[in-house]
Amino acid sequence: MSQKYLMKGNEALAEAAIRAHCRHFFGYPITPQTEVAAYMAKRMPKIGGTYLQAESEVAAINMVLGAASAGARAMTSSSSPGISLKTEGISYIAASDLPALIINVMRGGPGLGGIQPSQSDYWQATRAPGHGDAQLLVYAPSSVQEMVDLVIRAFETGEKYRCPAMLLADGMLGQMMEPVSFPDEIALPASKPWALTGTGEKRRPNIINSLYLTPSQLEEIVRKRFERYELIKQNEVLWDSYRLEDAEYMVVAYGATARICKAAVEIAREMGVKAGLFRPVTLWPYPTSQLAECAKKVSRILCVEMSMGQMVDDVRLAVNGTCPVSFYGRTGGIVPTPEEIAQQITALAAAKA
Amino acid sequence: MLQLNEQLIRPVVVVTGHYGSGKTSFALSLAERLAGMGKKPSLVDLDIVNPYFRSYDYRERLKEQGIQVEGPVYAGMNLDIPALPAHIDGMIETAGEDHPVILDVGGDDAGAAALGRYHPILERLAETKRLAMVCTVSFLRPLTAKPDLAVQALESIQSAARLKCTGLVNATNLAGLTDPQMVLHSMAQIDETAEKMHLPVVATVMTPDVWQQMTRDEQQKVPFGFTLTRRVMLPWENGDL
Repeated sequence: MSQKYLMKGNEALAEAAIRAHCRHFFGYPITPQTEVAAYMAKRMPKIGGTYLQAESEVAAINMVLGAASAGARAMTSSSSPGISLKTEGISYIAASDLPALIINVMRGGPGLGGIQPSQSDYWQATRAPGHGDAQLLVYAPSSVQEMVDLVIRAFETGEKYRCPAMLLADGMLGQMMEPVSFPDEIALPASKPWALTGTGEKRRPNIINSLYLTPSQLEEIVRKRFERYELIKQNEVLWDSYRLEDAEYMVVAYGATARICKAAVEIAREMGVKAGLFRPVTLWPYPTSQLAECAKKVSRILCVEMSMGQMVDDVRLAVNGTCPVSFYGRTGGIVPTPEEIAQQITALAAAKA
Repeated sequence: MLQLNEQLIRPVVVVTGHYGSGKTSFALSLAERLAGMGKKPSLVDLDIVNPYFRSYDYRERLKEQGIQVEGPVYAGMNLDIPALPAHIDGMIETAGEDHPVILDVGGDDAGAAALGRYHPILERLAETKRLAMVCTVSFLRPLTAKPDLAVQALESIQSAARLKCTGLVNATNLAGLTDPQMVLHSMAQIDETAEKMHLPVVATVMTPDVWQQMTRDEQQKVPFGFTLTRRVMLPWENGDL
């Protein structure tokens, strides 16, 4: 690691993508992720890359589809309502087995919602990132440094499995500033023999497509894709924990909320309640077995989100009834305080006693 | 108490700079410092770009110290509408040495565009040296990491503001990781930038602990050292806010 800089989350996402050899950014501005596009607009022309502000989110994601088909490391970035517009294109990218990076810096919803931080697109990211049987790799950073690290990882893993990846952040992470550094060297993308780069009359044409004329052919393709999803589930799960070793109460949270929960764990411990934190870093694949294993050692679980309760579904599926799971959430752009979460943890302890 | 440059006690102080370079922290601290000197300062949050982490968020605390805070009509709300209240004009117009006005402007040229709205008054105040327009610079921000990059950023701000900068504020920092060597290393860079722009350096910002970690010799190398307590905190940090 080299020189440290003080960076906004959104800028760090953009700079990390550039360092990871991405030279094609297609976007459309929306608060609170506009700095990603603004940074790209300043930097890309200086390094021979493409920054293109499309006429809409729909256009931008389809430009990503085109660039990715030609083998380029391509990306787009938006915030909640903009991601909804992109979902058709995301489904086409997944169906075409193309790697690409989609950044979602979440804000309050549904609808036009608001511009303050939120985590209420969890279901969209992990369950229905567009129509059809498809998944995205979903990475959930909780610091500006992790935003850098996971952008690089998202590109590399996406290309390894020919699968689109989403970096799911929230407005707080996008707007806050922290010191970051970048790896000295990031490997160049591996060659993509499937890319549409012209045959040079030396090979048969490659075809990138998401339309199949017979149902049996489509089923076969989808089944093969799901075999790859199984490999992803085996190999690509990431998670982190904090003070779980002796914890009786486990808080589960991701993204900026996990940072707040970490502070809440400290407050609860000062009040004599042994709390710990489980933090999924990949939301798909979800750290299901790892969470189930940790759940064996605690008596209660509290899932905290900036939503009405979405990831809590995955927590309950993982735990499968072996441990009571409760939920605490704030929504609409309200960021919970460490104190209010600590109160929830101590209330669980009091209820058990 | 460290000496304040003459520019920072003018009736109107406009704080501009690259986004994330420390404008809001500096503007908040300057307001507190002036209040501590017995003045009745007002702080105007003119940021029409940044949705979060803005000086308007700190208005309750500042009010307790006798500092009036004004901001865009929809600041902190869910509307992205950069509307500014009409009485800001009057505040600028009637600013004086005992009731100075600090304008905390949005980042970059995009943020500085808001100053265009006040151009006739600001230009008049600048002509009689009743206004200072300072630009914060941090060399630990990637897009202004070198003097020539900082000059480019400052020139685009001046052009959007239609107003010339009068001084530079060296705000080089890495948040909690800032150490005396980082600040001392930045002195040569800010001096080079100042020379290229023909501007004085009116303050070098750091937290009190960084200042105290410097030897007396090192402190001599930092004219107009300006200590401030970090005010812009994250929800999980133990701020005093």
